[in-house]
Amino acid sequence: MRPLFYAVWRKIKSMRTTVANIMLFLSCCTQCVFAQQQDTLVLPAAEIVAERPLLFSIGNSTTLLDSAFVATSQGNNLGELLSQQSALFVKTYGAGGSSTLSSRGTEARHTAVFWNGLNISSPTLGLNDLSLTPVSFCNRILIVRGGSCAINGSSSIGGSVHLLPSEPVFEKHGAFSASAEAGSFGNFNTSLSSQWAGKFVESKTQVFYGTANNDFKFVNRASRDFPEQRLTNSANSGFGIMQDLRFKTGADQYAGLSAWYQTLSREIPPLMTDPSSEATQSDSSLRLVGTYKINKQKWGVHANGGIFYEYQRYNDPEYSINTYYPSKTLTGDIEWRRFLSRSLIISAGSNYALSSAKFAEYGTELKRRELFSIYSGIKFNHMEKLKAQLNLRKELLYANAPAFTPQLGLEASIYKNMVVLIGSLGRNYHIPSMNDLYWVPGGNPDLQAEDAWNGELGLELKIQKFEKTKIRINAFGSKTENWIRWQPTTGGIYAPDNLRKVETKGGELLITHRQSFRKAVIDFTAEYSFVSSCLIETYHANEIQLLGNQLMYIPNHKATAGIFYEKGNTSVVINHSFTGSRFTDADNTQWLDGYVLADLRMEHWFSMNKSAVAITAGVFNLYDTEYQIMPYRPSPGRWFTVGIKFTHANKKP
Amino acid sequence: MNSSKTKSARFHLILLLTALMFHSCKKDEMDVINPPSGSGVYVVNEGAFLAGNGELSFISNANGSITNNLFQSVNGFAAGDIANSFHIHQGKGYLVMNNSQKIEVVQVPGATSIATITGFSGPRYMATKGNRGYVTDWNSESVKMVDLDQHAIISSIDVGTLPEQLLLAGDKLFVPNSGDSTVSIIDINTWSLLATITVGLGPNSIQKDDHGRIWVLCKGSTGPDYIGGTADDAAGSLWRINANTFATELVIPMGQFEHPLKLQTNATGTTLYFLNGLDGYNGAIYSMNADDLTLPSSPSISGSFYGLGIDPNSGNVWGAAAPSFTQNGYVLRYDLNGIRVDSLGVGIGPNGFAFN
Repeated sequence: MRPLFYAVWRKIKSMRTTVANIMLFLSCCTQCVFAQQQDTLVLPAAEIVAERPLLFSIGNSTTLLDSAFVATSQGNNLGELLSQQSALFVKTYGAGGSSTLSSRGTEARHTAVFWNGLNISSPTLGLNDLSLTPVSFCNRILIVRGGSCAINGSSSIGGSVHLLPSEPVFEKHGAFSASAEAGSFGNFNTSLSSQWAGKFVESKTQVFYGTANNDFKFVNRASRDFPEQRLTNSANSGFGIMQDLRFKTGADQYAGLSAWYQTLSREIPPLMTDPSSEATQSDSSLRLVGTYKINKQKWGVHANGGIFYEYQRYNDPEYSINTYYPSKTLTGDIEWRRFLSRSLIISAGSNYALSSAKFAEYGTELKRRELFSIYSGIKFNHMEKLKAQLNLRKELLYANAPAFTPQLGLEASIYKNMVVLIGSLGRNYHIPSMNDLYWVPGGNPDLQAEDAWNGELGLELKIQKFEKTKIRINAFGSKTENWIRWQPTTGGIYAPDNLRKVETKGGELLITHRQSFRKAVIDFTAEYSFVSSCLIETYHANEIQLLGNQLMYIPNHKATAGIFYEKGNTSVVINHSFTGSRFTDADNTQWLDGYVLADLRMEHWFSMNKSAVAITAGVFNLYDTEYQIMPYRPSPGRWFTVGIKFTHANKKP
Repeated sequence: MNSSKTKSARFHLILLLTALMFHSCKKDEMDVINPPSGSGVYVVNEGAFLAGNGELSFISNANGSITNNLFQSVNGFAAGDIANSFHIHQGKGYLVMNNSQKIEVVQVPGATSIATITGFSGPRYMATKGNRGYVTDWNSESVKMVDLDQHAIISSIDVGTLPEQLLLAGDKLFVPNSGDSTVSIIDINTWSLLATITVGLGPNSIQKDDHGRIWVLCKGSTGPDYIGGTADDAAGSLWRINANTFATELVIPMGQFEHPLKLQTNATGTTLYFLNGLDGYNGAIYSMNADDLTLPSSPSISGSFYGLGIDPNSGNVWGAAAPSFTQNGYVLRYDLNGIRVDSLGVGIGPNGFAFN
């Protein structure tokens, strides 16, 4: 007898990767929501209920990481998960350090991260530190590759990551789960989750606490004779709590409140080249979101509004640095959608974000960045054989944004739904961060938004019956004008400018395969990504020789492959990831070697009526690979975890 | 049963193939090259802050060939973070690594590693005499005395704020304290502070001319906004000090937006060279006779240089340009007439030279 989430997971496991599967999944989920309506329009109901990036994902390559991955990686942060489970490159500044994402050859600021439909990237930095998000707080994770600004707004030039909430069902149930994991280098984390639902209210509370010493041994490649040393000043400690409440306000509508507090304090270890470090960093955030959703048979309204507080403190006594960067964002999004016919749905909405911050580096005054955009979309679906969508967005308040942002997506079955042609073309943009605009010295309030055109074309092959094997091949490219970069100026300071154009192009291969035995299941997933990301125009004479070079810290090659094997109450996951070499200078004369990492995780469940207990074990960096993600920042060799999980539900799973 | 075994075997095959596909191996020791021989010019490539890529380049006098990433290439490990200066003395080179808080000692000619001197908190520049080295140490606001045989710090003396490019003249150390307006003068025999004299704002480099007179170059300041060329700038200046009485003999004021740095002389000390620019980090190359009482009205070599060196043998002037700290810089060589001889690509952030 399997635990509840495993049963759910088994249902949705095959839903990865393709848009068709995502919609099928939504259809399953929403059948119960609309069961009482006994409507024959099942699929349209899913399209009314779906989160916006799921509804309008035609033409983009997407991956939905389901709750199984979340369940098996509860001790990880989002950066660690995406690094192992996707061909996206995660740039991590050493063990426990900050993590940012590079999708399709773009910079960290070009991949927006959303929670409850709202962009949670830092308004001051313009990017999201993935190390601050515990995986245990993620229900489902949708990865969208390629530009999708017409759908998601600013900053989704390279891609976007969506932490999707679960849809409420308002059926009486209760569930409790807990996990604790201990590992090498003082790693310990624990998480609790409690769910309760009645006919009109649902509540879910999640708590996470994690700590690590990260005092592992490493070979110091920056010291004579390569001595083995132990990392110092590397401990971290994090705590988070997330509360979701859903209130049924009618047969087809509900209201929600979500609160998320997260804090992480970490020591910043020294580079291999440096003898010591006393630096520390502390990041905290409080996010409050209110939701209201009306899901009628043929139309729906989704509204989200939130207020986000962020605090970052950096302290380095050695250099007498003690900085404190607080910021606040008030944001909201409202969208209306309606079926015009069984095959045609339209949508319109608006998005608002007012960010404000006041600290010494912004001068004496409170600085604000106010963004407001309107958008619309239309989606056509003819018998699942031909799908098309057109989305439009217009930023109204930021004067230097592109005039108009369209995106067109297409999926066409060219052979019995077994061979599907997929493509998209769109304009995308990134509004400068508040640091880009207001930092003193250097900030430039007149900066242009980065302005990109993205396109991709792919084939999806479904080889066996029941979609057991899927292969998707994509080619993609983009050209981004007004590329923002901080550059030395004649006054002796660094300042951002828009004087570059960057081109990316590449290809992806995504494979999923499921093989069932009588009592066992194997799921195989693999991704490979090749990307060339080059400066192709510059107005700086000194950069002429850099034209055509790969951008720094963006690998040409990234690949992952994973096998999930389950038999009875035992499961084994083996993941491999390969990250190619990355240049560490703009001239492409210095680089870091590529590396292969492998993780092995095992779980065995013992079921007892409505409860289940699991013992877990993990081996990370299985081959004891010595590697550096960023120069001279040590990474751990092989390390281990053991843990225990407990689940209890008031219904038998 | 057979079918099940086949499927099981298939699973293990997939597993094996996956593992093989991503097989990995331990990193082998770095490949190294034979160190270059003969005389030449060492270029100090500062590198980017917290990137650990401070380095040396070597340009051979014999054939003009250049070896970049010299230290790592010869020794197989990185020199460290922020290479600030390179000082040659009695067959050894001392590569002062500011943010790595150490000095890497190498053989000269070549760059084969000999030792590492640790215990600094932000070393900047070095002067030597016999088996003693004297190193300005930014963060501890001191000068460290180093035993060059034992490769160890043996004593320390406090000076002013942010001590910079010092000069050893006879038995006296002249230490410019760039964070204030003073020069600390130290007797190396008694290892005591002889005097602290006041000069212009931001003294950053000191040289001695052919008459034994001490020249102190003061940067001034780019002001609280850190931006050169704005109203809050304070002018740079050039001061001449009597080496014995420490009295000020001459003050040459500069314009409000002139922020000079990196004072050098030719081998005989008859000509002074320095960079002069708007931002306090880069500048055009100015030269003046050590007997002149005023500054030249225009640079002898136009451009924006981050590093400056005068070859004591040929008199050639070397300028180093650092476009940014993510891309490689380059060096330009000029003859005695200021005619450019050649240009060579070096590492990131070239900030100075040493001649062997």
